[in-house]
Amino acid sequence: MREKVLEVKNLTKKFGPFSGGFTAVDGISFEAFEGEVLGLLGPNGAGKTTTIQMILDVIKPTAGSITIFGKTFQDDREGIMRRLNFSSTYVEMPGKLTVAENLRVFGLLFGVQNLNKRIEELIGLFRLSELRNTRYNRLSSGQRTRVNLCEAFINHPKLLLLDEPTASLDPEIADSARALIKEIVKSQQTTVIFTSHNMAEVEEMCDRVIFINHGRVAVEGTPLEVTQKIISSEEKEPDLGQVFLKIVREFGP
Amino acid sequence: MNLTRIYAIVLEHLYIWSRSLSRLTDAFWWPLMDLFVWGLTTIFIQKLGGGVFANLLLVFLSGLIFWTVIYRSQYEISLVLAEEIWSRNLLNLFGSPLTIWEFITAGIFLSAVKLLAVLFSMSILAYLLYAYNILSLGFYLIPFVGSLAVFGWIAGIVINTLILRFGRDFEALAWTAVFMAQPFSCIFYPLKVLPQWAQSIALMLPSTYIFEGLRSLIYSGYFPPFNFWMSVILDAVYFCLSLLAFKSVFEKAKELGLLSRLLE
Repeated sequence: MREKVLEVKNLTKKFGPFSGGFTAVDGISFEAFEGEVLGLLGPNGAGKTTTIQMILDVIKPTAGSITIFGKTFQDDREGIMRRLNFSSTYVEMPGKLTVAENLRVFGLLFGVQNLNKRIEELIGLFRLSELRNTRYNRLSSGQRTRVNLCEAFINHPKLLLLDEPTASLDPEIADSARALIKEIVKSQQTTVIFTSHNMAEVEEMCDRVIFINHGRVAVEGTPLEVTQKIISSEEKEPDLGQVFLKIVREFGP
Repeated sequence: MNLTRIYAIVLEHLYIWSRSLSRLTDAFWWPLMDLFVWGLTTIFIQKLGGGVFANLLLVFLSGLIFWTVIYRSQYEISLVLAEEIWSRNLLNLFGSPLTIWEFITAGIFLSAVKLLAVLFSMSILAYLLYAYNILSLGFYLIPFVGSLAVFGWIAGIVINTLILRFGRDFEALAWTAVFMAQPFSCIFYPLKVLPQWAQSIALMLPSTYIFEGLRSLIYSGYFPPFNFWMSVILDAVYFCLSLLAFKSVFEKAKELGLLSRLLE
């Protein structure tokens, strides 16, 4: 039986009047297991990023609980954070540092052993050798995304949160980034929580998906199960694009 | 408290600092220009006044150099947070094992390193231009610089707290807010010059006791222990309060989702 890496129970986030006065996440529950890639899907404002940021402990839930590696942040934040990492297309790194320097800083923050070797491994894996001494602010958005992914893997994470990681990449680079993520995830048995608006990408990457709408779980299962539940039980292939449209059009974005 | 993580933040900011012309200009150019212009102005005034303004140059240069201690300490610690906001790196940092205490400690260490570099260059210039030897203050240099640096860090932590709570609109405080303390700190004039209401405020600032003590040392060769202990006590109380405020606002920022909003 696979180990349960993440357990989210009745997670709720209400923002007060000064932050717009709305419920971003409304009592969602789910689990993720070792080596599983779990897609969090939904329209803009559905609550995906808020959920990811609560799992990352940068937003505090209003109610509910998050258990990672069997512990809560109150139990052992440092222990959890050492084995967790994150990448988002909306987050960057200091522009005046080179690729290698940024990786060194984050390697030190995560307490990575044999850091030089790890940096070289990742630079090689993500085809950044020629850019290792280039400053981050001189990189294209695609190159920055690859550096962000390097950083996300620097500590051999057991739980990886990827918030639209390929959003700024061209199709070829996005494809190779996905292949790399899949390869590393498979070899290290990393659990990944993945958000994307690219449904073909989600079908390719995710073992299981959870559709969130208005902060609630609309449907969950494997891409094929979700398609059969929402479109038709006769469906033989997953079609998350149609699932997305049907959920959003029926219940409103 | 993990030293490796503190070192990571220090390393990051030393890279940024060494590659940023504007940061280097901030750190060295303005303090040195202040010393140059106001030192010459003071010499001119001293010559006009004949023997009336004895020790004016000493009082003025000491005030200028020690005010720089407060300003640079505050500014550099605020800059650490500002740089992280500008480079959209906050979520990466606080989505790692880094704690806010390690972040603040790194900020204080960076601030101390830069402060020493600036103080050193100002002292050399003061000696070359005006034959003013800051080392002539002897042992008293330690309480002066120490107390004023801590006061600067307190101001920096308070300003960071406000930026964290109220967002990027408050960033300008990083290079303006500490000047509110300048008129009340009695840097160039004695406490009694201030109106009564302003004296009440001045007496709540650790810097006032140091600058009063500094003038006493220059004119009478005596630094009253009362001034030293008052500055230490006020520094200690305000430092603890500023850390509590930062911690509490950091937790509030997590509750309100403000950390990710600082990226916008």
